[in-house]
Amino acid sequence: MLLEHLTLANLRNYLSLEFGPAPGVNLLVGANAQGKSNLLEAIALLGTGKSFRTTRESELIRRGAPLASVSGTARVGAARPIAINLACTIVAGAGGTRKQYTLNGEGVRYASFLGSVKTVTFVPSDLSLVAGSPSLRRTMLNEALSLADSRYYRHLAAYRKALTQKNALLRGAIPPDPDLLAVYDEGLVREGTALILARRHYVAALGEVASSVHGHWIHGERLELRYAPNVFSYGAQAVTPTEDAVAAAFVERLAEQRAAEAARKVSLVGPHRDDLVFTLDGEPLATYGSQGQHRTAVLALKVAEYAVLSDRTGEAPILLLDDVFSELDADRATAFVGALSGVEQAFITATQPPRALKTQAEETVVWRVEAARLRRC
Amino acid sequence: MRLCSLCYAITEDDPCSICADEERDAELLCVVAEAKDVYALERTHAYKGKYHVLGGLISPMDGIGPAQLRVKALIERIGAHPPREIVIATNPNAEGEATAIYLSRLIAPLGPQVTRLAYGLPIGGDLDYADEITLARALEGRRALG
Repeated sequence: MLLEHLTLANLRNYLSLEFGPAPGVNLLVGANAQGKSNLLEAIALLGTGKSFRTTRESELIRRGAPLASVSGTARVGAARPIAINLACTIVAGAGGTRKQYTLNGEGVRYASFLGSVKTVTFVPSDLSLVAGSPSLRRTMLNEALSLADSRYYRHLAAYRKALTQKNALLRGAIPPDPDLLAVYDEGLVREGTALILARRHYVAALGEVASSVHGHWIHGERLELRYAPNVFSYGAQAVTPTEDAVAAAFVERLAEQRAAEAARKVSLVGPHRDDLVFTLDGEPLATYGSQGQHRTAVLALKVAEYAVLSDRTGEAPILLLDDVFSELDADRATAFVGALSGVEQAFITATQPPRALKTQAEETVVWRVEAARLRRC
Repeated sequence: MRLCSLCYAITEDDPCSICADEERDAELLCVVAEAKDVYALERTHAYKGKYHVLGGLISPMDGIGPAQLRVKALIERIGAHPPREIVIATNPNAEGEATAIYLSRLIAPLGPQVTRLAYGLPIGGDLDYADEITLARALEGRRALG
């Protein structure tokens, strides 16, 4: 898919911008704080409806403006490409910001907007994915799966709603009520089972690509990704668990932990406590690996994320790399670029043109970003 | 204006004209969240039973549990005059769903058949334009023709 046009109004340091990116690699070069990452963030907003840099969306609105907007035209669809128009508006209000989404001129809900344009984002903070907290890895899984399949997002939203209500009940917001607890637990099992099965399937696909990419880079070390669901132990799952088996394990685990949940006043069971474990030659990478091994594993994971999303949707997602080359040594950067195949369009920010890109045959258009203005070089 | 002492709808007379109407089916009881939902259902002229207004939907995160709603009154009402059917007509959102399932758990052991409004497509709508969830629910709730 291709982003053909992008319009910004009052977004971060952009008063207004009209940008017509090229197919292939768009390299955004400039000094710090000129608006390179802001532009990448805007493109990601069209894909995911969310910022990859902040959860405080008021930061997205240019100081003094009532609202910020990003709109764009993209060409999507592998066999018969069509042009779609997307817009995301962030409106400041007394009680916080709210967002409005439009698709081809019509107001739509987030769930219908999400993933109309598919993006894969790689930012320097992703490099701590292996050794960081499990919530980072769950977020990665949730974002990737939501983008690939809107049904996943709907299950996730329903799951979170039931979880919030269950936690309020456990916390004592209203008097204990076993019947009501059972209602929320049923909801968690129904929605959570769908999440677990989707994650299991996705991690298997991701692991296969990541392992193979990693094997090409580093001979003699075997990288593996293992999904570690909270409701059943993986060791016992040599065969693919069915929906009924997962739901049954979930129900059993809830029963086991009921007293503990009541005592700790918080929900302890379900995919909101899942993890994704990286192993190198069978040993957990988070505890045994070096910094360099962690980075290489994340690069392999990002290549895999791109490949699996391409494979599942039948077309190449838009690749967004925010200042990652400054974090990588020359060998890793070159290996990473070389492993990405079939990229139709990428946006890459850097203070200096990265060396790794020079080895690539595909066309690169360089844009100089200075004080929220773009100039094609 | 005040609340009807039987169904908790807003009324001038107590009991309200619906509860007082002997032509209406007293063995059919429709449970709604708000009084305005009674008016919405009355506008259909398709419902001939009685009502029970809960006064909201269960949502622990907002501090609303069964005790904050007229759930106990509903159970007592069912105990005093058991209906043959109870139609739960809460909104098709997360709180409406949870409230409906919760009530059905409480009511089913008492005897009445518990039903729930169908999910479906708007009349005059286009399949093309329906969102996937609505369409999937409409498919689940399909019924035999003829």
